[in-house]
Amino acid sequence: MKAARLVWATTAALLMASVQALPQTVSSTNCSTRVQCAYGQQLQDLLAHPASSDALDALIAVERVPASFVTALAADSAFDNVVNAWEQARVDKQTGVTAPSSGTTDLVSRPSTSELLGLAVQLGALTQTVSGNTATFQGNADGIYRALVKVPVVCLVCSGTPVLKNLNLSASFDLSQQTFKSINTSGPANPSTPAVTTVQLPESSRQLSVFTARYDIYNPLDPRSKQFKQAWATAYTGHQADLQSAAKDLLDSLGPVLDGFAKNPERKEYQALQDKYREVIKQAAAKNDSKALINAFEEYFNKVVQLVRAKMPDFDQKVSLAVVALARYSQLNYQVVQEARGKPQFTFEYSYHRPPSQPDTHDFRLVFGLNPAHGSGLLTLNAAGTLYGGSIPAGAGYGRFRDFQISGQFDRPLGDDINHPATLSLAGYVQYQFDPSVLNIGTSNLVPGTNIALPGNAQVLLGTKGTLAIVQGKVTFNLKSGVNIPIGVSWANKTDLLNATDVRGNIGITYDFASIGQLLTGHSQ
Amino acid sequence: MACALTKTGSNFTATTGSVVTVNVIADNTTITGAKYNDQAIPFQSNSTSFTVVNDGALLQLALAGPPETVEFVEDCGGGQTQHLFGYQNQFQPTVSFIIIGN
Repeated sequence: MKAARLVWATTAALLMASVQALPQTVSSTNCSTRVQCAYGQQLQDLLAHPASSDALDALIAVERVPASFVTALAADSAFDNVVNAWEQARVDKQTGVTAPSSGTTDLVSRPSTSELLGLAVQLGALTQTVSGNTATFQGNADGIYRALVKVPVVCLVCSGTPVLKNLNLSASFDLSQQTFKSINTSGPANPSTPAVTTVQLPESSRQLSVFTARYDIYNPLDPRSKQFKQAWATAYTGHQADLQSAAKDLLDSLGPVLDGFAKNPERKEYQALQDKYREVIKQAAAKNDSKALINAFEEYFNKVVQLVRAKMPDFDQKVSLAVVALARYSQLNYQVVQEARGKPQFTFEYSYHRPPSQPDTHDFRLVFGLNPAHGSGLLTLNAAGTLYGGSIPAGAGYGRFRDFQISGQFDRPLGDDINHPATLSLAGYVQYQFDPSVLNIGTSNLVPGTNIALPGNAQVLLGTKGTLAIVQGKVTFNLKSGVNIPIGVSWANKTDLLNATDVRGNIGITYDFASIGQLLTGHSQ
Repeated sequence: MACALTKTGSNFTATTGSVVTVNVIADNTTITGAKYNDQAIPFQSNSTSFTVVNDGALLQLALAGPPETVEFVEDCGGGQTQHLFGYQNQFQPTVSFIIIGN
């Protein structure tokens, strides 16, 4: 339990340090209206540089940065639908627990997690002899923070909150584990009952079985570095045709929205509004009065929109088309930037396991993700080691280091990269165990054939040391609204307690709340 | 050589018929599409050119790249450039300019 307390204390300290470091300024992570969120960067830039004509133009000339203009006007559903489809299509997200936990469908831990919250209920086991049934709650620290302050969780055009964006925490609860507590009795209730001094009462049927903290370690995004420039050039060349095609759709759909600003008579009315508000906005920025700046800009923005709506009856319909094209283009650019940013991406994962009837363990895992086929497949490699927690009894027949593991998995979308209905996964896992598995004997157990009760810390060795190998095939069905159902079958040469081959099925259901992030935040961006 | 564009408020004016070349200066950001007066215009990775039409028309540029510092300049020839617009540490999928020919 000391280890568990240390984990929570460290995590809380990290979260507090990160939250205190957050900037208290106008930005896309600190906004209350759609217009304010969409123009957060531009408002912040003008406050920081009130004399900058570029910063002023980015606000006053609404056609200058059309992404902010159409995002501020977007209907809730349009942008979100495209972003959510893309989020759910990702094959790199890990939601539930992985082997060696009981109640898992995953041999390998994937490199990414949900942007907000993930929930998984899984049935089965891979390395364990006894199948389990676990519920896992997983959350990204930045996603939770962004949801709480009501800003977009999935942000394609911003870089997220430092430290928090890379920190993921999860807790798994064993739904099938039953534990007992020994209670002293007050004596027999009737004369026919022999003397019973203690009874075993069920304590709880839902126990924390695994706590996991993950930290994603990316290569730093330094656009000025020689390495990034080379990587960008390579990634851009690989996606040039797709980007140019998406760019054509984007410009074609934005043109009708923005053209009115360039043509008379609207242009003269638009310029008159610009002339009226330019000094007001400039003065508010010069005084560093963020409230006055936001109020003045929102008033100006609404008048500009009123003007263009009055002249263009189907303006909102055109905006909707432009938003969809913008979302697609932004996704594609994001994907290319991520590719150039450098893969493999590394994730360090620590898990504290409390398996039933076995000693607690600490798992340390490195996760590597590779995209060998430009995003249409993901190869994930894991290297992990497991240590026994707590004190090792003197003269024990096992050591602190339990095992090490190496595993790999290839995930391939079945069908279109974005709208694929299912994902095929093939995985392999090898674990070398230094000693046979340790099984705790409960206090109610007797030495076989006797009335002698075993001590509370009694343990036996079960199974054999050596190599445990597993292969798994799995299909994950991608349903709508963030729901995925993985169904797999695995073969193992043995399990942790029994030295015999084992074939079994695994099934689960996972839910990615990032796909419905707009329920909490209003929209994606 | 003289530059063709003159800034008026937030817009730009130019003599009708003049040829304007706009360059994008950035470490990585690349032009992926360009339109002027609702017509696609040829572009290279970091520049595009067009002939100014009479009255107002929109110049649209689509861009790909990481969040970084980007500057848009008019290439006035002879090594001379004129700053049009810029931003720092951002990714903008597209930027537009109203150019008024007279």
